[in-house]
Amino acid sequence: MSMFMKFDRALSVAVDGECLSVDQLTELAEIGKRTGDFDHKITHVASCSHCFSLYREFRGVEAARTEPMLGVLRLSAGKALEGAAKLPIWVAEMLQVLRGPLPSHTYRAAAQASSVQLLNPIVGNRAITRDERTIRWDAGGAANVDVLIERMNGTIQPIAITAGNGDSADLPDLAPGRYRIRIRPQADDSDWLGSGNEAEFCFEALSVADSDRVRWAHNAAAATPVAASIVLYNLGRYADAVDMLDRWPDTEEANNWRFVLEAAHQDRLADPSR
Amino acid sequence: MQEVGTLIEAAKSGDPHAWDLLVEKERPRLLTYLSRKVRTREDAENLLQDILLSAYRHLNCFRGDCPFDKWLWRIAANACIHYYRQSGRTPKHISLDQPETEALVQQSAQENPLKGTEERILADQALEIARSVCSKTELQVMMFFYRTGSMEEVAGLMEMNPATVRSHFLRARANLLAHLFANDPEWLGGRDAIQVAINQVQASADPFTPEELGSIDQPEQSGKTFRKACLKIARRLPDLRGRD
Repeated sequence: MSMFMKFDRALSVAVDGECLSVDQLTELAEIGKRTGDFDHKITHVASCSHCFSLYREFRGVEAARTEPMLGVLRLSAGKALEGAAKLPIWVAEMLQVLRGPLPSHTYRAAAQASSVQLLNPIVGNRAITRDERTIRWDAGGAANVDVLIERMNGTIQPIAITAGNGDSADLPDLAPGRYRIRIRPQADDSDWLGSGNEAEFCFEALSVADSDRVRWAHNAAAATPVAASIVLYNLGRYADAVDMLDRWPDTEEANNWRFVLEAAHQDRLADPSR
Repeated sequence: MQEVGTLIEAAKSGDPHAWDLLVEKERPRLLTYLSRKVRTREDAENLLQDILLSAYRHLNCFRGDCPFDKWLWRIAANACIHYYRQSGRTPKHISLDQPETEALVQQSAQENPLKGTEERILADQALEIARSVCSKTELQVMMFFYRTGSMEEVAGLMEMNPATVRSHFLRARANLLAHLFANDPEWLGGRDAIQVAINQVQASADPFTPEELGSIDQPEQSGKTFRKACLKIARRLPDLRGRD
């Protein structure tokens, strides 16, 4: 018998803090240590049989969801693109797009070249991850630059305004959703309306889970470039997806999809304000 | 809004309106969750129906030992796991009449909260002691181990290496031993039980050094050496080796 028996028996029924809500428990199971106030919450979960049971089930859901499954990437013609590969279920779900008809993207003519360039985030990606924290631009030597970030959830709401003649700024914490970045160069202090060559770029701010998927795709690029590219394409990371195309097999099916990804990228570059 | 307990009793008696009231708050939240987890909206809606049906059919097993919403969500999470396991073979529908779901429902019904005031007081005292001498991680590891009995599972739950979990557990034990030994030996079964543990270490392949043995008589004056001695005792405690 352990000399800790009495102590263990007492501590094992002690409850530390208040019960967590179901939403807090799902968040904890989904994003783990990145949850706000993680230590406090996980200590409660460890001590509370009700919260622990539910947390354990939610962890089970996440484990089952990302459990490798045998996914064979096939196009409609039936030829395997990448052979058999162990892929998380959510990837296999995204790859369902390969079974359907080819999405149509048309090559557009690029908009008139602007003196204002967005250097970071990369314009070819329509979505930004949680890790992309800096916005950088080239305003063609303007004395001042106003940078606005607006949320586009029905009403346009300014998120942040940065002024001055710098060429970079930190992005604020962006909740998942669509945003517009406006860069407005000013010739001098009196030019507060801007000289008319304002540039607009629309982005989707990805959730934590989707940001993790982008990370997964980059890590998987060497082993399963087709799956990685399609995941990135699904998430609007066109430039990233196109970067991996040179690793794709040279088959007719693969080339059809190569064209789709390149067209999506070109389409985005032609009009990043959409 | 009627009290949840009243609604549960009414639903158990077959009142469909009571059941609707019980689940109306959770229904949209469940659907949002399921929609995020499964392939299509249609799958999410089908799964939700199955979950609510299964919960309704097993409502008599629910004894109110845990909050109703948590009981319902555990069934939902379990249903999701079945969905994933079956999605490779039969992607559309799942049956919740699985042995695991039955076991889950029974298990939920059997959980017991603290029984009495005395037990609660002891629990609070133990928690206070553990908080004062263990780090947060050590405390979490120990409490998760109580629940799972497996270092491997604790490692998974805490996103840690199993060896690191083991090391935190041993340090927690040693810290607690050092504190209880010097301040409250009754928690450890009294001086006699402590002497038995000391004798076991002395008879082992890794006995105390003379300094460590001496520190046991004067724990306040030889902190680090005393903690080393406690770590040796902790390593020989049967619970860790026996359960994992």
